[in-house]
Amino acid sequence: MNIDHHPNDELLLDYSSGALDEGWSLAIATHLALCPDCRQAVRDMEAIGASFMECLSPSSVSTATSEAVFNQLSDDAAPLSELDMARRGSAEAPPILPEPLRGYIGGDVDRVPWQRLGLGAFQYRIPMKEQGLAVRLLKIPAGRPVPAHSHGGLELTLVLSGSFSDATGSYKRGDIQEVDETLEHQPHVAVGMDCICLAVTDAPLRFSSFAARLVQPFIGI
Amino acid sequence: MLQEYIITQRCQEWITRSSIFSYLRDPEDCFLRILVMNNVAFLEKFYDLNSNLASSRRKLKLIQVNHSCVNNSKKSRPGLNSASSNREESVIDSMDDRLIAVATSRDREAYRTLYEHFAPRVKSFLLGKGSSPEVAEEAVQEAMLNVWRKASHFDPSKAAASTWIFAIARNTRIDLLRKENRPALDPNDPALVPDLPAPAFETVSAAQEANQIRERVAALPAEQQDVLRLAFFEDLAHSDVAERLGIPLGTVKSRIRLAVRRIRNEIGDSE
Repeated sequence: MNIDHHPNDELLLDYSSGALDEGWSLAIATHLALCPDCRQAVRDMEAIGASFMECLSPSSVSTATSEAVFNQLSDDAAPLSELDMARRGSAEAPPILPEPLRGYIGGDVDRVPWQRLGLGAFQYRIPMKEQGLAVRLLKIPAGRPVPAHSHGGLELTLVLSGSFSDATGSYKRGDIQEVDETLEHQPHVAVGMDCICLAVTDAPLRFSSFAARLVQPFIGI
Repeated sequence: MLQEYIITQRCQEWITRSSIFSYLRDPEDCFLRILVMNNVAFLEKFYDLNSNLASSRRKLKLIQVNHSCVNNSKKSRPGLNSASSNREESVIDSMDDRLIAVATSRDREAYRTLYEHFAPRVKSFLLGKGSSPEVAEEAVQEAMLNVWRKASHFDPSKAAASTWIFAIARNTRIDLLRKENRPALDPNDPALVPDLPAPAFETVSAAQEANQIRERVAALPAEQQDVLRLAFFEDLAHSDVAERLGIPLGTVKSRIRLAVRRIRNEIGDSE
């Protein structure tokens, strides 16, 4: 599976440095699960961070802190990663939702408490500790257009199943689309398979059509 | 083909502690990565130990355990000052070995060395991010305990010890100070798309890559270093970095992109 659309370097750098808020980080980390190239990029960026950290002049750590640490070291074996067991145990198809997204949902797509949006579309708003970002899973039926809209801010959309396309290209599982206020687009979901995607926005969408604007307050987009 | 590679004493000890099995990632297609030097007999024994795994069409990759041996076997890398970088590499490699010793044999002496090197730097990192000294102490404690607890997750084929500990410090800080989850991928997730198999005998280890990255960061033009440093250490949004440096936001973004590309694109060029 080749991924054509990646997050840009600034987003990956902010993820690597820890500056990115939880909602954006969720989209990036879930993309990383599907994209070995970006995982390598993040490892390289973490190595950049480590090289800066190594260059800092050391600050002395209090004896109390050091004693507290050494007193708490337990001889219990460091837990081995559970992956061998997890991998061996699972002969069935891998989940559609990768971690860390699956953990936020509490299960795979069959566990999503979908809310009806109308026109066959569904959404689930993922609760976040931080306010200010809207983080949601969307399910748009195969072959349907989403009403044309622009954005008040930044929107990241990560495709998890199915695909959609708009004037900027075609997006399938693992692809991430970054859209800002300069783009008005009308995504169109490909026929054959519903499109499930994770969408993170920091401002409400602006629909171009009067009818869509009328229902917007009721459907919570 | 494998006979060309020989195993050192040190490498042998390390592997016979069977610790290597904790680095088995995906037993289906991904495998151990060892750089083997100096001992064919050991290699055969190693194959015996792993006969159950080697029986199917699984690839054997080799972990680089003894990086100083790598240096001997490698062609000289252009652009590297071998005297100073060898010294630095030996410090860093020994950190990798110590972290492995903590993971595999709960080695307190090894941990003490790691603690003495990294705890003061983790504290500087946290202070630089704006933590008060009290909060920084608390976060250092938690981060360094996480190093002990999570040591078995360290994978020397993926990251140098310093990189791994940087990531632990960053995550601990987010968990503790922002009271927020840090969404992080789960390397065990069956939905994870695995890394492409590395070449069977990859000659650049994660620790060496970290060294190359460090050298490239140091070689960046000052203006690019500044934006990277601010992004990593001041927790500033890019717009705030722009304000701080008195340059347009677009310039901040393009410097970040240039710097990252310069550092990343060159990785591997010297192979």
